[in-house]
Amino acid sequence: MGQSQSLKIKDLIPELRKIVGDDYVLDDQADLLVYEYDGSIDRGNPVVVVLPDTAKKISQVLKLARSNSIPVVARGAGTGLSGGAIAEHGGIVLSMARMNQILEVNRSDRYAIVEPGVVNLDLSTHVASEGLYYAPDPSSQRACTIGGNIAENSGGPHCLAYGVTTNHVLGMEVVLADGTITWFGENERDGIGYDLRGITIGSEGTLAIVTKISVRLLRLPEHVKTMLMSFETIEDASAAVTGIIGAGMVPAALEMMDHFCIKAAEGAVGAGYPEGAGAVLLVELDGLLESVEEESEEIEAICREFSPLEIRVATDSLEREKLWSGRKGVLGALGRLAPNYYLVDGTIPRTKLVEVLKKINEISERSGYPIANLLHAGDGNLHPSILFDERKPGDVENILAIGAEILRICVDSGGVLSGEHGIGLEKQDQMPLMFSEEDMATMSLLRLAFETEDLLNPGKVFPTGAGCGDISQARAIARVGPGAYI
Amino acid sequence: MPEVGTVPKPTWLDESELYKCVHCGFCLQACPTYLSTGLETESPRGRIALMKAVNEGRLEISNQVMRHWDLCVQCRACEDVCPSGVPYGNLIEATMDHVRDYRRIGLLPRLVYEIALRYLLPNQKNLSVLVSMMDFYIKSGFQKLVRKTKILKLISRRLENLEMMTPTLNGEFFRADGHLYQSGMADAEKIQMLTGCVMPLTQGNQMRAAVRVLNKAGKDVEVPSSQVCCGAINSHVGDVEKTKDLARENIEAFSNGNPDGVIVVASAGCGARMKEYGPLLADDPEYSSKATNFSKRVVDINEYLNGTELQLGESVVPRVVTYQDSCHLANVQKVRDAPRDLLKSIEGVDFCELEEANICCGAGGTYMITEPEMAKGILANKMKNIIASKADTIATANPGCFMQLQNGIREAGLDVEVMYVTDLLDETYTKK
Amino acid sequence: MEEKHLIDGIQPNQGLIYPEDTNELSSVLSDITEPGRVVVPIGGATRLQIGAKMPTYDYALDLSNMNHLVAHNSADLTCIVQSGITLHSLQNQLREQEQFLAVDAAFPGKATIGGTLASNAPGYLRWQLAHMRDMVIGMQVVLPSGTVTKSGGPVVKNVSGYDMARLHVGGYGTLGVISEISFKLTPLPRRQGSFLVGFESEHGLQNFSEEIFDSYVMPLALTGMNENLIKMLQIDAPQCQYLMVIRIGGRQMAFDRQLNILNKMVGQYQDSQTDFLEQNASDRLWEKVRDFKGYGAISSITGRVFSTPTRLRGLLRDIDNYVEEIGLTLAICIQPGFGTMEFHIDKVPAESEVRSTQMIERIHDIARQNQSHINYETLPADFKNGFNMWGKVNEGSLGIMRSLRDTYDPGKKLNRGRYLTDKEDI
Repeated sequence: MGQSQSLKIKDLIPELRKIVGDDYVLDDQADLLVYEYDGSIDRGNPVVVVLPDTAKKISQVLKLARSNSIPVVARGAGTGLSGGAIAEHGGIVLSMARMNQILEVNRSDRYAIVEPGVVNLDLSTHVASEGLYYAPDPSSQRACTIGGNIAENSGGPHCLAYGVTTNHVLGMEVVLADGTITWFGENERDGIGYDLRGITIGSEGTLAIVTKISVRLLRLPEHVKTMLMSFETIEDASAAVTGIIGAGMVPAALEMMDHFCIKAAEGAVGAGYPEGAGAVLLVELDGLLESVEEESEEIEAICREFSPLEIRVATDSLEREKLWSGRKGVLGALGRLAPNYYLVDGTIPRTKLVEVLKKINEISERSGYPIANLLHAGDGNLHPSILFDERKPGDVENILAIGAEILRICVDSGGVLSGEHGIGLEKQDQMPLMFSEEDMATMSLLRLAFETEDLLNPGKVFPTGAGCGDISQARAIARVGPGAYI
Repeated sequence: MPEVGTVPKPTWLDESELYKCVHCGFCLQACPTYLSTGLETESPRGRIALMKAVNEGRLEISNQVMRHWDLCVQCRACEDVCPSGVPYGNLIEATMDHVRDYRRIGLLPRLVYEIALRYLLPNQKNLSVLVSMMDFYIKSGFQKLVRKTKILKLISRRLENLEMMTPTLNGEFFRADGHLYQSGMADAEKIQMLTGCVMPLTQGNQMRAAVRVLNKAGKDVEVPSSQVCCGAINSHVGDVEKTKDLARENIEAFSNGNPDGVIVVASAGCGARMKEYGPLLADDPEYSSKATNFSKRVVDINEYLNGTELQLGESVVPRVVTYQDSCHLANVQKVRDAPRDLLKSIEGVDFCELEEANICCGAGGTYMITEPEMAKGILANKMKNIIASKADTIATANPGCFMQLQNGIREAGLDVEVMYVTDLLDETYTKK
Repeated sequence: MEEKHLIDGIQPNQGLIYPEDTNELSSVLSDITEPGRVVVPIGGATRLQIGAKMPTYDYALDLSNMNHLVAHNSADLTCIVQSGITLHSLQNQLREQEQFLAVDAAFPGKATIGGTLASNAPGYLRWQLAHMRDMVIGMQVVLPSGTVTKSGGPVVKNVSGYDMARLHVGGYGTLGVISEISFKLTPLPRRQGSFLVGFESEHGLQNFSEEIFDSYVMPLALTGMNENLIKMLQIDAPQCQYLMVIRIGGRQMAFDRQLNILNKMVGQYQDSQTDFLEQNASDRLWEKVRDFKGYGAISSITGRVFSTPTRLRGLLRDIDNYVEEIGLTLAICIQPGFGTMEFHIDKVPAESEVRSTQMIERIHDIARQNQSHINYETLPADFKNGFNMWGKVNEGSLGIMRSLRDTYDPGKKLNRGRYLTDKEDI
């Protein structure tokens, strides 16, 4: 953030106040300081924070920002784990916290229209009385917003069967960088033209600002059954996962925790795992009563092949809560073991679980940093958590390097850099691990088609240095092909 | 995150507690002030970030900074949802204590403040004089006149707000006079009771009802006369030293009789404070172990009654009842089911859950007086939920909540009665 | 020259290219540098009639030799395919491992997976399994310049970089040529069959589908058709005005339970008649519905409706009334739970172009009044000129779409003048 930008924005504050109201423009040092972070380890200070409550006001703010070349970063609840909501280049932070109304619930057409600041879980709670729910359930669903979920195309434990955010958004109202307000898609499940809706989801706020969202609602299942299976080794548990998926079973959720997590969870919430358990699987099935019963029998049979220490089953909500308690409390529990943990997010083909986990363990042993493995095993989404102490000199650099190494292992095994947290600031420099320069140039062309000024959440997703300068090179690729690209 | 290796020694906070916060944001939706404003500055994560920034020398304590800390209701709902186990209550109390020296407030307000907190509240006699004056103010019809003419508005908005909060007095004071309320049962267990400072004066009838129910449960209830205020309000505004003094006095006051005997508390805020005397006096060599033992004896009345073989009366109580969690009962004492179970056990009661029952009503000890605007905003949302619940009675477990809900209901013109859980239990014996 | 490459009667004037792999595809595209050349990527040519009429085109880029299943990781329920593989060939290979791709389209023996995705072909497996774009987990695309680019990957959960594949599903090959796709797969249901219900009114059909929507039945596919379509397809069905076909699948007990629920629910509908088809008969019926022969007939109009379940009710009624009023025959196939419908107006009289254009516009209007969108897929070739088959996209979106087109294909090399437009290009 340059001095000049900061001065320029200070001059615009009266105008911003006129647009959104005095109470909703923050520029005091203390106030700005609490907008420098999100759930990640990055930081960046905005020059001003505005909290608009309508798309029209957002449009006015964007026009003002554009005519003064000021970056704008949209922010939901700030629970993101890759730095997506951080104002790295200063500028304006657009907080969506006041746009938190559920505008319409259409039961017969199974959709709801919500503002971006609506909290994920609040939507499901709101429509529960209609027998409906909103399927994507990120672990932060009590706090994170639907708008933020769209930016990161968020997942969650139950995305195994039901898909991630993009599979549940029908359409959205957006404000484009030039202030135009329009809809990408509407309430239909299909349509004509390029899928602008689909391309905006997961674009980390770099293409447009989303102001209304039409989401698909699902029928609450008739029956839910949760099974907790403990195994002696993580190899056994992983083999069971591969066995379940390979047998053509897609449970609602299929989660795994290693011995480290088990120990931590046991200490914190007394989850009651059997002694000597090296890994536990948590399987949730939902749907028609009969199909749940038939599938759970088969799953049990598959798991028995890997000599589980124990299988526990719960069908009522209280008991299910108990089985989930260890899983849900485990991150906090890790926080009790070490002052900090760095949660890595990557996805691998599900057949590579054993191999990759073994390599991660080797890194842990070699480096001396404990790594706890928590997995959305069913879809191959790993969350190795490296325990460290940020106050110890060298720790931060070391764990970041370990994180990068783990991601390289994921990519080498045919996997990807992020399963559900996004690239943001955290992984932008690792993009080349997965993508060629042509791939990245093609992506930055997309951004260019939406906005040419590099003002919406600048400096995210693409590797540092791949800013405006590279756009002309990207253009060259579109025109003359790879041979001419240097 | 501070530069590695440059984190200075903490000035007033326990750094290991402070840096447990990994700013995940899970606390936001539990915080009444964040829900009311949508501002990160008015969230637990924001307040902790400010503490960290000051701790790291990146920020100076200014009025603006203190403002955000002051606006915390201290309901501690954030603690309950924190996956990392950040002891927010400790952090905010230590912070409030620390910043007292930074406040530039006029001599007169400071004097009033000190008198109120150091002399009036802790001392029942002094307080009862004040409350009697308030009682006269109401009964003389002077209050009606004042409200009708809106004369206070001319003087000060704040004063008007304060006036609107004048509690409705419910019958005679309940005095901590050493009396033993006997159950008349042969094998009755003797227990002790803390009256607190606000409740016995403003809600004397409710205290008597609580004692009656305890008697029906086969308990003889002693009310030690030398007891003082529990100190909750003092610690709330950051007066840790005075809190410790009060704690020590109470430990002595309840030391006669059975050293392991139950101390039952009808006010959730007091119960929460007293259950934490242990950590409060941990550094006091003389009182540390006494305090720990004392805290173990403290039990909330709902929690206590739910564990007894309480035989309810014959009367049917035909009410649609909902329940507002008292923050310090739910979030600090973790008592959530007991009051609900008790209510559901009453014949005739149609119990319905209140949306956002776990979100604070904005009372927060003296918060409703010191931060009337924010408190009103929070309260307005609570009223919306109460209307939606269609209940005709709202039960709660703490005098602050009781008064705040009464204010809200009066201002919104609702036909809803505020009662303690114990009042409803009592109706099964007394209602005709 | 094959008939396959005739588009609205026009042949490519420079020739035919059959790339064998991505490298060849890339060099073909980068070699075409002369400004103004138009390339049309072609798969099975089953849906080439869609879009505005081109005055001329230069190269037919036929991908039918890029027809390999590159990898099938059955233990991971994923696969990677070349875009020229036919749906039939792919499903056959997947079936060996008791899996399938939840994408269906007409004429699977010819239709390629690339063309199916690019043209956003309608399919019936959408009730439970959502849109086919949701099955795509990774994609390799060759840009008009010849640059080979990829996004996503062969894992089922991924937010690494922009979700570029979304642009090309329904992008009609105007931003690049799809060369390889990673899919997530679905296990084949142990048991499958179809429950047929005949109704005497459209009302019954709609109400019943709403009830199913509300029940715990999870059909794999559900479609409704009117009497005209039943006749046209020569379906051996119960006597009725409207027929609903519900395809269910699952393990034995779950299958039986769903059948029970359906039987119980249908009991409340008087004048309804039911039938049940076991897997083989059921598959044959669905093939008929899917390969709806009316599609592509020279003198007919076919269109797709994008709507919501409730809006579709009014829309169906209005179109039905209108077509009856002008004395033509309307055949419809409706997916009530998904909110889409295909319709077919047979034997449009050729004599009056004005009248026909008015008719097409009128149906667009009816759709608009019901807050729905229509995309005509076939129109008689003689009045295709100057008429927008695509319906309307809002201005804001269209602006971005134009900008995307300008960005990725500045020379308008691919499918010029056919997509979303009746003018030169979007």
